[in-house]
Amino acid sequence: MEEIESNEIFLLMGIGLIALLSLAIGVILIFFFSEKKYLSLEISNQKDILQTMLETQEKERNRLAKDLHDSITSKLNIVFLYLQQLDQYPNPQAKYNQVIGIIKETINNSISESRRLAHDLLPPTLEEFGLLEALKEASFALNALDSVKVTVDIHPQMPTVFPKNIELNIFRIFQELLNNSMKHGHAQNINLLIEGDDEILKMTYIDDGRGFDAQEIKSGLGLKSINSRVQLMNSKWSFHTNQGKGFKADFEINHSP
Amino acid sequence: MTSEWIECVSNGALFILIISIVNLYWHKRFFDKSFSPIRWLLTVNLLVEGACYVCFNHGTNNLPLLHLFTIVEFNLLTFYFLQLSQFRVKRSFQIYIVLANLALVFNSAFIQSIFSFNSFSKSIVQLIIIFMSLHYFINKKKNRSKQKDSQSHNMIVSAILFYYASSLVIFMFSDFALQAFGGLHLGFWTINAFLNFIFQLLILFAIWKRLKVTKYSF
Repeated sequence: MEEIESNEIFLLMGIGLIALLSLAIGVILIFFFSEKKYLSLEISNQKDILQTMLETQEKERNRLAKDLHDSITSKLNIVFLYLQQLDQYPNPQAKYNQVIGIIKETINNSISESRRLAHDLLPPTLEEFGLLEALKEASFALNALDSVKVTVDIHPQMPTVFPKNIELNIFRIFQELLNNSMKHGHAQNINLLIEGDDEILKMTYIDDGRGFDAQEIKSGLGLKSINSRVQLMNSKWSFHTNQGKGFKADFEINHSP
Repeated sequence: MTSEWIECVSNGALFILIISIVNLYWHKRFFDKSFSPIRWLLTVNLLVEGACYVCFNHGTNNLPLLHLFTIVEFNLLTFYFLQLSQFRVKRSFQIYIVLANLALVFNSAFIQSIFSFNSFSKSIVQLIIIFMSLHYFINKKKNRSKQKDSQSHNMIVSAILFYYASSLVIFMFSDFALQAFGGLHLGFWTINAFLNFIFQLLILFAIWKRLKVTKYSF
């Protein structure tokens, strides 16, 4: 009788042991499979980000080369031609003042152009006064054009200092959005709202432009570049748009060190 | 035949344990401080195994060592999981650790004598460790982007979950079986020896994985 009872108990123990063993193996397998899936997704995502970064960098180089060629190089060519002309005149003194005047003006324009180019590459305000001032300055510069009204609303109680890479990425995102709103959306009013705390910066960007079909443009380089920057900052964003209905983007940027 | 199996598998587990400990001390600079509790746990495990062997040869009861090992095991693994979760030890948690230690000592002093099997303490410690392992996996899934370089820790926690969950039943009922039927069926101790062998193998694999990542990938 006791033998039967002990066998029953040992059988129950065996079942319990197998059940717990299966449960443990199940948990471990589920974790490792999901980890593997996550890692392969992460790798493909990283490749995508790298590809976009390279494309953006190439695009930026092309723009810079074109700007240098169209502005500074051509102006220096003009200066060179005028200097050559001076040599060809039998009496250079007669034309001297006129040509020197043109050369001075051209060099002055070249200086302004190179300053503009440098400013576009890395705004000094961003370096010296930080992100919030740089965003305001970018909006002032566009408001001076009169074709668009840009407002930047910053919550008064939010932090003003962020890590440098975060500041640069947010500024580039803002530039990209402004560029899209004006070039493609033909927006007349743009609003940027910034609020947040010591960990998260919330940014809402709204324009009243033409909008676009999100499905068609989703793979556009501009949006991909924004997406890459957001992912590099380990943050998230979403956008809402439709044909003729403007554009709205919400960002939640993690800026804790 | 079964006792020969147990001896063979136990010796195999002991051999793997020694290799793991040698690696952990020999390549100490490749293991950051999160591995320290595991290094200590394995060291204490080896010392207890050695002491048990000596006691066995002298015909002395070695169960007091199990009582001691349970307390050390609880503290080291709690510390290990605390480090993995990067959890700031709050005062309430410190109190919990102190109370748990007092409960373990109380059990050994007044409930289950140090010369008998400490099934209560062992089962509760195992349940806590299983809970902490599950918490690690859940937390890991939630905060993937914040955690880096943890493949070997994943393997160690898997080994812990695997061994502690599956051997829970054995330790839970061992005291009862000892009193009711004069001992557990030998098959259970064979299974336990096998589980311990796999546990040691997984720990060694985790150590090798860590060394592969840090030592050989410059």
